[in-house]
Amino acid sequence: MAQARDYILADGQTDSHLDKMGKAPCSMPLSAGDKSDKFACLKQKIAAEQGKEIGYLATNIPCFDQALSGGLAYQHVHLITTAYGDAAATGFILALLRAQIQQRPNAPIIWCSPRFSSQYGHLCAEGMLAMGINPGQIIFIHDSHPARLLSAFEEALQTTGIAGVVAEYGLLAEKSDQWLRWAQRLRRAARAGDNPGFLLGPSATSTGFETSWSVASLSAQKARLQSQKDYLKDWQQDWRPRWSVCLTKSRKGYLAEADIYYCPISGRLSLLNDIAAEPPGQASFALPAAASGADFEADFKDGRQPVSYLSSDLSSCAS
Amino acid sequence: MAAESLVYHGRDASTGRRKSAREYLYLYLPDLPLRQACIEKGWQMEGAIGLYSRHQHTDRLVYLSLLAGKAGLSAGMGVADAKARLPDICLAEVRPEQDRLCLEKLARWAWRYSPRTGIDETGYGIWIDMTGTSHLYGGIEQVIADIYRRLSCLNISVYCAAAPYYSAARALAYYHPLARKGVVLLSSRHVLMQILSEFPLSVLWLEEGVVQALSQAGLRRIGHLQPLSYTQLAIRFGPELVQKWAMLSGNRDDTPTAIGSVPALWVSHSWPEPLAGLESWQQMTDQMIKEIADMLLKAEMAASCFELGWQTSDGTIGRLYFNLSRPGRRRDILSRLMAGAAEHIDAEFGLDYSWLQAHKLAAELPETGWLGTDPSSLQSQQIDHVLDILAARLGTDKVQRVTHHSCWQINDSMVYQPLADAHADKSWDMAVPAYLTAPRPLRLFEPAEPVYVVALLPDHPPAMLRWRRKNWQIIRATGPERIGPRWWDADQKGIKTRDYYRVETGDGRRLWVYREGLPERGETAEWFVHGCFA
Repeated sequence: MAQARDYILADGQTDSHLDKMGKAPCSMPLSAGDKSDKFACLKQKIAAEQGKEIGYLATNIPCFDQALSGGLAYQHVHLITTAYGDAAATGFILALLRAQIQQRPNAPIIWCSPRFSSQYGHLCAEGMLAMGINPGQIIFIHDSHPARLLSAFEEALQTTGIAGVVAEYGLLAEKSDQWLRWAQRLRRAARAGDNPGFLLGPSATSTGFETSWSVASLSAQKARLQSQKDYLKDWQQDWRPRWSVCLTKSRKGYLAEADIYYCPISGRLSLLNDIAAEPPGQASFALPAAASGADFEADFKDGRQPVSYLSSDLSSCAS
Repeated sequence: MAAESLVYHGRDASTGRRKSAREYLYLYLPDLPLRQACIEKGWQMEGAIGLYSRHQHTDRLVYLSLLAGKAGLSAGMGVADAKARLPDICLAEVRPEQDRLCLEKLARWAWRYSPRTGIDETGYGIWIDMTGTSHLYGGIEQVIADIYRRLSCLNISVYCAAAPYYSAARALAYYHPLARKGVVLLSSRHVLMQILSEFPLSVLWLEEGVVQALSQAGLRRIGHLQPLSYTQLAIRFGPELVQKWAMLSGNRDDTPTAIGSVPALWVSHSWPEPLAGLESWQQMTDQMIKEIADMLLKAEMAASCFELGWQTSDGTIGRLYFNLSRPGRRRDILSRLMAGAAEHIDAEFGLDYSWLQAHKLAAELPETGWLGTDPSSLQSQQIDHVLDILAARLGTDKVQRVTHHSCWQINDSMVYQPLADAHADKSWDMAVPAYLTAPRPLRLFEPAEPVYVVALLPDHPPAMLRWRRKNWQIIRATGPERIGPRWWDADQKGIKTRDYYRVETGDGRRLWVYREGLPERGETAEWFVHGCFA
């Protein structure tokens, strides 16, 4: 069986000759004009069936937007998974929601999560502030039971005028029958509203969701290889979030992966390769040599200045 | 009974009118927890009964019946000792929630005397604000007599006192020797203070430590506090004593919160045949929602709290409360809010009587249709309704907003508050660019997770750490940011100063780690992971 995965590379070229169903293309291909007519007709039919147009939340990463035909679709639920003890997925969702807030400035975000999560930790308001999100704009639904959280998520999905709804499902995904039932319920609920819904948690079955993503922090070694030579000398002082994001499943059929970074000042997601090409004003976000924290802590310290420690400073002990 | 009680009405000599403006009546019900336990377990009140609660890993007696008291048992004694002394004693655990429910029922029963009644949150009693209503019953003495007559039929012992303010009425009911027969001490402040001055300091309901400190200073009665100034007392014994003393002496407002007031609008149905079955209860709810919505529309009012109540054929009364974040009256909203209400009705033999009441009324003009209405306000209304539904389903404390508190310790810098309590003035300041502020993690581990570290020097960041059963190589770090405890806060006395570092592991994770204890001060250093960055 041929694998039905078409990876779109960061430069936009398709990586496979297989179609969406995993079959080889037809031996008598339609001409370009016929194809476009047929697609237009099909699109019209689908739009008529659905009755309304669905909006998209663009990621600003070409390979993802291309694979998703414009971005993450509203009125659908997107599954975003990450490892325990890693805030990369939370950061990725907040970065997406920041773009959404620019479109809907006064709309609140509803975040359903347990108040205390031992594995992931709980959301820190000042950390959100550092990501460029106003914590006052977020309404938290705190409950320790994941099923109650998902029922709140379902209710919030059906509402219009919200910037986004996020739920943390915890260990519920391990019960496969319940998980599939919830996936169906949430898909139906999302159709009633006009918001993008995000499910955040550990690795889970992606059946029933519009897209499924796997997000992880990008290792420094990989980041160093990817970023250009000019940037190399500065990377050690740049603490901007960097993630390795993989679109592992999409109902549209195309998959993609990219290493990206997020700029909290501009609120934009960009490819890691573009990091050196950024204007100097934005690149100066890289904190000065006196380290991230020189200004704020001078009052509280006993005359010591905070410093940056690099691997060479630390390794002599580790080895 | 009231004839035997102590009655003192001070009257103004010139006008003949009573000087006092308010009349508070306090009913102290000392036997209530025991009586509840007896009803539940089928015991006799005359027998040896003890109620216990768990205190510092030991079950200790809290309430005792007369017989148990005569047998030499006392409150605070361990359950094992009590069993050894009196093997036949009937023991049960204290159930404060049940007692509170019982008190609430009694407070509702007391609506027959006044629309403002409430329960004592710290003790076993209810209060009735008789201001302006006692004359309807022929005076406060007649009210007390009526209360005694009604409650004696139910075998509830009650201590009753009336005073011009709440704290005094409560103190009299608890400590006055004649409270068993009813005490009325209205209007003459001088006489009231004379009587209160003889009471012990426990009348102020202070913490154990404060009472001990007062006792060591030779202050054992209320009268001992009278010559001392508030400033002197506050400096030596803290502000709590001064607050409570000011309340007892009537110099500070102590108006308690009343339980749900009488509704202005309600619909009720008396059913000829008991209503049984989920479907019929659903229909009943829908019908009452329609009626109350029409009623509110006619009155040009909107309500933000609704009470759905019912009485079953066996006499049990049940109530459900639904809150709206803003006053509303639309039928569809109410229907959605109360969608699952019928499932909560537990009536095996059906309902005889049901009602729907609208509380917290506010004026609202009639709606003229959707045309021209601002779409953003419509959307915000819809969001409010969803939040109301979630609050009704999960509880009001589950729907929260995070507010800012000016504090350099991260745990205290943010407070999660229920949506209704979160104030807009404590919103977050977005004016400062993120890169100028201290690095703060996106996820916080609470409590912080202890880790083993390898560091080059005692005041260096870790080169390697063992966290969650895994070794993590650190490739870069910045810091430290020193965060000390609040030195003026007594609660933080044992907390050491921390040095926070932002570190990056080999696989790209960024952690916020701290070292507790400063090596330069000779303290033992311990390492913790407190959060992770995006």
